Amino acid sequence: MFLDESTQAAIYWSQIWSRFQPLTPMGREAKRELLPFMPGQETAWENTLHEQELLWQSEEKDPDWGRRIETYLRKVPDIENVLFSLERDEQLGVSDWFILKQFVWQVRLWRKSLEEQDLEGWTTIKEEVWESLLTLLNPTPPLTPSFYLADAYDQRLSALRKRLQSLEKQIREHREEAAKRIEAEFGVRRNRAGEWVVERDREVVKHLEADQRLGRVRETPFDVVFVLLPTKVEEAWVSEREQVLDEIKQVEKEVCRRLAREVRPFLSQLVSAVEELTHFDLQWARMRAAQEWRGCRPHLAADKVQIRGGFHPVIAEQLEEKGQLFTPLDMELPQGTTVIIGPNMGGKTVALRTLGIICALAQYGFFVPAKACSLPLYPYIAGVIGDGQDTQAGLSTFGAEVARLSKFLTQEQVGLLLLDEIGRGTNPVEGAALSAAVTAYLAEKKWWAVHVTHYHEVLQIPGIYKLRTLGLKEEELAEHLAGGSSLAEGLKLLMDYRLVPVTGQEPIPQQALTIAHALGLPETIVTDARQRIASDG
Amino acid sequence: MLQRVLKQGLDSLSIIGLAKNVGKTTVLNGLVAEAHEKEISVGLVSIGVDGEERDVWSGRLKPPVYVPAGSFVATAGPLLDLEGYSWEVIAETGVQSAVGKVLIARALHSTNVKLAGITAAEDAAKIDHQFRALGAQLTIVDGAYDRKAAANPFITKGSICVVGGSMAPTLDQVVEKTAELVHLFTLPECTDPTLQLAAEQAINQRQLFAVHEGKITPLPFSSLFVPEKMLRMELERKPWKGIAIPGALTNRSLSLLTRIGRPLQLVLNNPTCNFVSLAVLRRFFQIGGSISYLRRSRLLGIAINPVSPSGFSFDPQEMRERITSVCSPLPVFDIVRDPV
Repeated sequence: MFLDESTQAAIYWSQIWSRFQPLTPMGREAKRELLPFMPGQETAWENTLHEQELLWQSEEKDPDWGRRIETYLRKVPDIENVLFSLERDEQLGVSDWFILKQFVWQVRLWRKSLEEQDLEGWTTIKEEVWESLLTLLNPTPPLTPSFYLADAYDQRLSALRKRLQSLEKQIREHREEAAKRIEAEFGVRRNRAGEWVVERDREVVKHLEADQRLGRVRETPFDVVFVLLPTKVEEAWVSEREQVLDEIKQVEKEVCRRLAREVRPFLSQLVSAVEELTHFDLQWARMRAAQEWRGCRPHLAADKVQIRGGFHPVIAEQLEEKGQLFTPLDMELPQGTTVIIGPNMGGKTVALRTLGIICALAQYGFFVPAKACSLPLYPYIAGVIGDGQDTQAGLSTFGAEVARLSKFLTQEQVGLLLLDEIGRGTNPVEGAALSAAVTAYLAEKKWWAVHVTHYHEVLQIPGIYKLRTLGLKEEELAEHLAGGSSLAEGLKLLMDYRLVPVTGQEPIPQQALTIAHALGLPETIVTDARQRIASDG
Repeated sequence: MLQRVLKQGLDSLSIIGLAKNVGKTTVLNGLVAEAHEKEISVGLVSIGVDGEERDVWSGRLKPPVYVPAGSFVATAGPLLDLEGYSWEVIAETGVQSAVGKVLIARALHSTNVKLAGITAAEDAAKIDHQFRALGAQLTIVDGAYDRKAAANPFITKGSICVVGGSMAPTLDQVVEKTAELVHLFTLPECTDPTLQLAAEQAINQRQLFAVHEGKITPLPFSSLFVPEKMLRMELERKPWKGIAIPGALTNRSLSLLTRIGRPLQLVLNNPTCNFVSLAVLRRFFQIGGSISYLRRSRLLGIAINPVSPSGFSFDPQEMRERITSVCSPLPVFDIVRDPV
């Protein structure tokens, strides 16, 4: 699996994925089955990105054009069932023909819009095909997107319809005249259903009952209900009407069958059109999503990941709501194991999540939330990342993380591993040892991994790349607090989240003590703690 | 009846029944025929249980609806295909029902059709807009199985209620049920701007909001289905003037409020959310409480059908008189006996 559920949760995948919104029913279906590009599919991947680049340019040049395209896409119906029935020679009804015509109508408009921007390469189906299909589905001018069984489909239709209408008129008028005569004779009036509802005790009931032209249909304890019985003439008309209706239905069947025969030669082109439109819809939706995060086109690099100005759209928005800014991520990861070290709350985990979302999006063919980005394609991306707040959750968390890690380490293929503080869920001595040992194993096996930790032992392992977050500007914090500002405010302002390479033997970050001091812990305790670190070192 | 609707400038109405088989379709067919005579083009849609071929309650086959030439309908595609030659299929609605895609079609000549596929109020409202865009002058919503829901003012601007012999075994009960509905539907629209605002917030945020001295405060409940103790505690925090309730008001909740004893002004979304009985309502009013709606549905008239499908009938004259006495000044008409 390219991204398992835990990794998806850790990098907030679903929140990002929900911004990817195809507009056609086929596009939405394809989204559900969409696979990432895998190693070996680099050319297809590059093509996907290139196509979006062209779309993006056209959309930027003419946003109105973009909105038009979207209107057409939104109106394209799913014709899978219609094509299926056509293929199997099943009977299609007017509603099916309407759906097909809608498809033809909207796809033709879509194609014309593509032409406007010299983008007709998106579809192989030529205008002539759509014109031919429209002629079949719209035999009488004017051209409209609706569908009905036009008289032009069969020469019998017009006459049959006329006959039907005239019979109905005759029957109606005949009954109306007869009913009026009854009403004049007996002084009774019909209800909406054309029945006479007469109170039982009225004298007229006897006369109505005796009249040959009327029939008693039902009675209640209060009323008797009469209807007009059909005359011989009317009966003949009604029976003819039934016959005409049957004939119309027969003709309708024949027309539908003939139409199916005429449309069937276009079947393969319709199938291609569905595929091309679905592909376009996915690409358009990718582009729209990436526009939201002002994405850049990622480039292929075989042996390193390079990100400049990267950010995680979801985290950036959460920060923005609190009035804070996301510190852009600049990062270079050569093939091998990279360790990121830094103080608590220093942004290590955020860097890991951001790296994860950028790599995952890139492999699904999206422009990525960064200023610049190059990377290889991985067979999978796996994160062992807690929620950042559960360091005290104890052995259950520890156990779950180790179990996940073991699963990945025993895999044959080397994917991108994102590890967040392995060993933190247990006691410091064992935790540090485990963290270092895992890193050493990864380094030796040349795994592509990023391990975020605050155990400085890990830095001693040979053959790893080392990054650190810059952390708190301590002197400025002291000034800030002396100026009477709050600690929370100070941390927000003065924490430097940027990543820099570890060059020499920088001192181990001890900013927990600085924070403790700022929070009011007596000076003597803090000094004692610092001395203890010095003597241990 | 239609005359009255048109005189009030309404362009949509629903037909609701208080029980199965009261004769809604007869009323619908009558209105459609009347509209046709007056050359008013109509759009027809039914809101009910999906795929309901037979009446859920009685098992009787549901009658098709009469559609004059030029009228619009929204129904599932396969139901149009039954008389395919009768229809010009015009638009998709975006609604996929168990019976198939719901489409909008215009009748090429007079025909009959079953209306099905729409179950959600929002879909019915959307279709009303589509009808209007196509040129329909009047949308008629047949409130099938769901009974009162179609009267939601979100969908239609007015309603006709059908009451009939199938509602209850005695005329007394039918009259009582009718009186209840009329009473609930004719409670006033809220005119207090603060309470109105509270009601908007309650509906949007699905939470109760209370008003005190012109200030709106959210209460920590999404409905009144909470333990009495909790509700009492919240209500006793301040001498609240009114409460806006997002969902349904039931006998149980209103009795609870009556027991707590605060003369509150309650605001509900619309009459279809009000499920209380007259007895419970009266007791709440006695302690000084009142109920109003953010949006009122207009009840345009009561159609009576003394006959039940089992053949049983009330005395039509007596029924008309007694129903008129509980719903005056609303017009009452007898769908079986009134001449055209």
